[in-house]
Amino acid sequence: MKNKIIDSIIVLSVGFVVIIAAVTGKIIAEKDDLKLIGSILKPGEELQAVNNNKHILFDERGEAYGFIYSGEGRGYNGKLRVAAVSDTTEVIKSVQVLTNKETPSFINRLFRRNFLARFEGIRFSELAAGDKSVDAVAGATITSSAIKEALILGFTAGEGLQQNNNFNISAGWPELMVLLLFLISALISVKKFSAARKYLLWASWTLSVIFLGFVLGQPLTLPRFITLFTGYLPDPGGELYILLIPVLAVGFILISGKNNYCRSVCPFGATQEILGAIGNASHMRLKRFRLVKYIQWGITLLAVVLALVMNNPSVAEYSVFGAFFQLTGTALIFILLLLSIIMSLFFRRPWCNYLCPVDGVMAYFRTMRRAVISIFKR
Amino acid sequence: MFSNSNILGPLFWIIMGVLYMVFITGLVVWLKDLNIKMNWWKWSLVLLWFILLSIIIAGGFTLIGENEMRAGLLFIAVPGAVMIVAGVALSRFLFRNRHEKQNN
Repeated sequence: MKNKIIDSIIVLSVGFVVIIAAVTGKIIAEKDDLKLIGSILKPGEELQAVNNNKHILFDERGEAYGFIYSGEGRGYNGKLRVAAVSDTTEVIKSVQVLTNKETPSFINRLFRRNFLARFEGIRFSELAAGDKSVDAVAGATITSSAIKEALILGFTAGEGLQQNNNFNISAGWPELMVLLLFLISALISVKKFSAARKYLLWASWTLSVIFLGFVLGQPLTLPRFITLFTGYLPDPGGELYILLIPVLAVGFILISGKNNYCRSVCPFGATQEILGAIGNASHMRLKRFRLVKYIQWGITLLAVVLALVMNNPSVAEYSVFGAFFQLTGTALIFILLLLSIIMSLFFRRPWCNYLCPVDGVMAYFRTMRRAVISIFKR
Repeated sequence: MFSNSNILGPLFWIIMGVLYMVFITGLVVWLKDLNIKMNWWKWSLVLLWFILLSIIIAGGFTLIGENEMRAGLLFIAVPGAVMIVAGVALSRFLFRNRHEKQNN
């Protein structure tokens, strides 16, 4: 009875803190759009708004010499706003990202490769008509596409042209692969397949590392949960698998109470298992295991609250997945990754057990399930 | 490497040579002490691993010295991690016979 009350208190108080943080973040984040666009002006230049997406640009002598188009694209962690300066013939002169919620190491990859400069010299109408001269940067494809999308939407909205707002859902091999991995994880839990459990686990780990990790680069991360919580959905017409992973992971916990994702689907969990098999890793049992877990979950909660208050999910990104599968991350993340790899050779799943933020989220959903069941059992 | 000194460069390589010899002779004694029988291909594997590790460290620090910090760190971190994993796998492989003997 006492445990049930504690469960309910934890679920309610964490939920309350998260909602307060989300509301605070939304209030703080409301910025004047004109101020953002004005920040890219040179001294002496002035703006005149035509509509929300198009502004006329005046030089020091008061003569109109171009336009600024601004629009939003669907990024990885949320919408990003982009502005582009063009001359009077709609040829792009410069592009700037006004606001974004992308993981810094990913967007910095675009800046390092001068991605924004690749649009210079292209006519807006050609871009809107499907110009393919600007390729996405490998390893930051979604962010690259979001910038291009923002430019096109900014131009079409600014000129009052018809936009393609068709809602379409498309599925391909990434979605099939995600479904297959969760299907295997479900089979592992079935008693009938207990003899094949070991083989199913290894099949799942291998597939997960190769496809979910290296090919798609889509392990479940804390920013993914936060973006979904704030109501931002990835494009179902090409990124449905990004949505499928958290939905199935949480769905399995809420239905069965079992954390199938962490056990057999997570590509970094699988990596640790493979490393553990190489080094014959053993279980590390700390004296104060429970205390360490509370610290781990506390850090996760703190990261969630900070990300919500700052209205930027990428703030909560401290996992090593990007560093391992896509070689992007800060120096600190790479050090954490190296330590995790070395420790994984000797101890089973050190990252999952003591650092992973997703573990905290899964633990919360498990506690929520317990609390709800106890209410209905009364 | 030491552009302002004539003595530090040769001294560095002498110390490196000594450390390499200490490592290799130490390894031979250590393996004998542990009763691990080595043959030519086992030695080849150990030396290959050691040479690759040396190349990774030397290559990484050369890149850092050429002001390519990011490339240097990645060069050390990525293949370095692979070499650590390979080293653990190799040691487990070499020590396997020893465990079997102890069990018998």
